[in-house]
Amino acid sequence: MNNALSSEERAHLSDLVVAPPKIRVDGLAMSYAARNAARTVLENVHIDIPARQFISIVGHSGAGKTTLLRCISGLERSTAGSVRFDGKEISGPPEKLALIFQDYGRSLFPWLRVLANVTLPLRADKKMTAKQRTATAEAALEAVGLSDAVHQYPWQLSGGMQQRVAIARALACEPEVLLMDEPFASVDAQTRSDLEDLVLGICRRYRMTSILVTHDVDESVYMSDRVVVLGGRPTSVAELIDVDLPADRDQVTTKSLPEFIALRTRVLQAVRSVRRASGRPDRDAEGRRTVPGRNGDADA
Amino acid sequence: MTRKVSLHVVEVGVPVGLVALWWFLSDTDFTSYYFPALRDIWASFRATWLFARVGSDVVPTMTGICLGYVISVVFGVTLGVILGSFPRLNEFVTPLLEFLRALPAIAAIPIFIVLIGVSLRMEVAVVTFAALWPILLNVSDAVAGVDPVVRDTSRSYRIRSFDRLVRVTLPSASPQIVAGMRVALTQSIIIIIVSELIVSARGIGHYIQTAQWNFDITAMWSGMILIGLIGFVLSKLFQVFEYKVLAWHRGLHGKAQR
Amino acid sequence: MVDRPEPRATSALTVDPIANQVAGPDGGAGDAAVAAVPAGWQLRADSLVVRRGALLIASLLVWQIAAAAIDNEAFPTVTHFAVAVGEVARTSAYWVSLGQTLAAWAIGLSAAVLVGVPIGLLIGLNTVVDHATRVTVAALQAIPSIVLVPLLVLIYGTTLQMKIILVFIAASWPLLMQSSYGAREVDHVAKETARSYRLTRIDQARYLYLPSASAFVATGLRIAATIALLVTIGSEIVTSAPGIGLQIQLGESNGQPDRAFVYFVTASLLGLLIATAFRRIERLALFWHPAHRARQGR
Repeated sequence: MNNALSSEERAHLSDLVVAPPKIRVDGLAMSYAARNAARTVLENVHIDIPARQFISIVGHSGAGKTTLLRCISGLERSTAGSVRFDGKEISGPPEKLALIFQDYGRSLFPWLRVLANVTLPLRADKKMTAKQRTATAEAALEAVGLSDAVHQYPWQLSGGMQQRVAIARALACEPEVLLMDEPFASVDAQTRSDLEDLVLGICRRYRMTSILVTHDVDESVYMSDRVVVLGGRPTSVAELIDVDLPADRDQVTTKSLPEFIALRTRVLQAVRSVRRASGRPDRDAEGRRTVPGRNGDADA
Repeated sequence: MTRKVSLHVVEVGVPVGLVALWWFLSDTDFTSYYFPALRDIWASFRATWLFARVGSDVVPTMTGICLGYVISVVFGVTLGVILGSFPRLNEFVTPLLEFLRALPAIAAIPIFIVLIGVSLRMEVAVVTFAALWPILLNVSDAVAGVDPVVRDTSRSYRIRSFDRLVRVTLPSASPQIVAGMRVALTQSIIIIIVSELIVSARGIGHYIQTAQWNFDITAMWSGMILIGLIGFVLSKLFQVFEYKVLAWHRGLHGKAQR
Repeated sequence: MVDRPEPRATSALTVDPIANQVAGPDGGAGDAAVAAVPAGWQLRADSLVVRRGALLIASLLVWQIAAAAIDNEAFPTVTHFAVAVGEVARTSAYWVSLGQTLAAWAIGLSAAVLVGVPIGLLIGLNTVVDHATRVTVAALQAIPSIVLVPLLVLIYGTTLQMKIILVFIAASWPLLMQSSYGAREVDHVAKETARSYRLTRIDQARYLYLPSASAFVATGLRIAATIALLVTIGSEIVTSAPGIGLQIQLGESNGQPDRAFVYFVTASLLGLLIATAFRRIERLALFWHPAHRARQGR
C-alpha cells in the first residue's frame, strides 16, 4: 500500500533538482520505549515539500499525525531518519518556523494581554526594539482583523478570536514555514470556514510553506495543494494525492466543483482502506468512528 | 426590604450585636474572672498598644515575622524554581521534602533554642524552618507541572531562558506559589508567637506570658486580641496582593465556569 | 486556611509523591497505549523501591555529615540518635507521654467533629445562618488557637482537660469551614437534576448532600487532625503539660538533648502517620470528585 519512494529513488530524484525542497522528511521513524516493549508509531515516512506549497496531513485518529508534526516542528526528536529545512537537518525548533496549536486556550498565555502574547516571541530577536515589536505585533493583529482586541486578555475573547490571536502571533514572527495542528477543531463550523480562508490568504500573501494536520477531509482538500494520507501499522505515508483545483479557493464554489468532490472521495477512501488494511475497525471499542464519516469528520 | 439587603443587615448586625452585648453585659454582674469586662480590656488595650509598648513588643514580633517570611519566600521560590526545572531530581527529592514539611516546627523550637540561643536569629530560623516547605513544595510542583502546551509553545517560539522564566514559567506557576505563600504566612505568625511564649525577653507573646504569670487577665486579653488583629490585617494585605497578582487567573476561571 | 479539593492550583498542598510518578512518553501520538507490564516483579533501576531506598540512604548520609559539622548535641548524629532511641524506647516515660499526647489529641478531635461538623453543615445549608455567622467565624478563626494557651492554663491548669479544650477549639474551625463548603458547594447541576427527577428530601440528602459533604468533611478532618497534633504538642511545650512536648523541653533543659531529639522525631513520625492515614480516608471519600480523578489519572 505504500506509494512512497524508497530512499535510493529519492536520492536519485534529488540529483535532478536544483535546490533542496523547503522541507524534507527523510526516513522518519518514531518509537516509544514503554515498560518492556517498544512501540513504533511512525516508520519510514518520506515527504518532500517544495517552497510555498500547502500540504495537508490526514489519517485516522491515533495514526500519529500529531507526532509527525511535532517531529517536523523540532519539538520532538525522531528515533530514526531526519527532518531537513533548506537542506539542513534540524535539531530543535528552527528559526523561521511557527506552530499553531489546537488548544488555543492553553497555548495563548492567559496572564498576558493579546498584544503582549503576540510580541513575546519577538523578544528573542535582539535586533528589534520595543517599538518595533509593538508595531509588528499590531500589524499582524490587523492582518487577522483583531486591531480592537489589542488590550484585552485572550480569555475575554471568543474561541475563533483567540485562534486568530494565535495566528497573528505566528504571523508576527514572519515565518517561512507554518505548521498547524488541527487548529480549527475547537471552533464552531461557521468560524471554521472564516478561519480557513484567513489562513489560506495569509499563507499565500506571505509566501509561506504550510503543513496542516487535520481530521477533516473536506478541509484537507480545500486548503491544500497536496494531501498526505498517513496510515498503516506502523504508520507511514500511505498515499500522496495532488489537489488540482484552481488556486483561488472559495467556500461555496470550490466545494461544489465535481473535481473537489472526486478528490475528497478519493482521500476518504484512501484513509478508510488504509485503516482496514491495517486491520483496524472503522469503529473503536466504544463505537466511535476512527475514520472520517460522511461529513468528513473523523470523530462524527 | 429585599432579601439581599436583609441578609447584609444580618451579616453586619450579628457581630456588632455580639460585641455590644459583651460590652453591656460586662457592666453588670455577668463578668467572670477569666472573661473580664470589655471596657476594662479596651482600657488595657489602649494603654498598652496605643502606642506605649509598640516599640518594645510589637516591633520585635513583627520583625521576626517579616524577616522569617521574606527569607522563606526568597529561598522557597528560588530553590523551588531550580528544583522544578529538573523534574527527575524533583521527583526523587520530593518525598524527603514532604517529610521535612511534616516535621512539627513547634516541637523543634526547644531544639533550636539550644542550637542557636535565644535571639532574633533563632526566631527567624524557626520561622524559616516552618514556612519554607509549603512554599518550596508548591513552587517546585508548579514549575515541574507547567502545562505541556505552554511548554511546547515556549519551545516552539524559541522564547529565551530569562524571558521564559519571568514571563512564562513564574506567571504560570503563580496560583500555586501564592497558595503556598498564604500557608507560609499563617505559619510564620503562629511560630513567632509560640516561640515568644516559650522563651523570650520581648515581643507580644512574651507580654502575654508575663501577664499570665502576673495573673493580669485583662492584659492577656488585650494581647490576644492584638494578635488576632495583626493576623487579620496581614491576611487582608495578603488578599490585596493575591487579588492583584492573580487577577488574570480569576478572569480565566470565571469565564470557564460559564 | 482554605484547603478544599480544588484542581491543581491549591491541591499541591497535599502533593502526593506517588501520584507524581508518570510513566510513558511526553506528548505522544493519540492513543499510544503503553505496552503491557510483564507479569512478575522486577527490580529495575528506576523502580519506586530503589528510588526511595536511595533517597533514604542519601538523607541519612546528609544528616550524619551535617550533624557532625554542627557538632552540637541538640542535633545528634545518626549513630548517637540510634543509641538514644534504644535508651528512650525502653523507658516507660516514653510510652506514657505518647499516650498522654494521643489521648488529648483523640478526645479533642472527636469533640471537634461532633460540634464542628453539624454547625458547619447548618451554616452551609441555611443562608441566613451563613450570613449571620460569617464575620464572627472569620474573626475568631483568624486568632491562632495557641494564643489561648496562657488563658486556658490559668483556668484549667496544666492538665489533660486543658489540652482537650485547646484541641477542641483549634480543630473545630477547619471542620466547620469544610463542612460548610461541603453543604454549600453541591454541584448545582446535580441539584437541579435531583429536583427534576423529584427525588425526596431524604434521597437528596442521602445521594447528593451526604456524599458531597462527606468528601469535604474528610478534607476538614485531615486538616483538623494535623492541627490537633501540633496544638497538643505545642501546648505541652509552652506550659509543660505532660506529654511528648514536655519531654522535649525536659530533655533540653536536663542536658539530655539527644533524648529530646528522639521525642522530636517521635512527634514528627506521629504527624506523618496521622497525615497519611487521614489522607487515605480523604481519598476514599473523594474518589468521585473530578479534580481528584484528574490527579489520579495524571
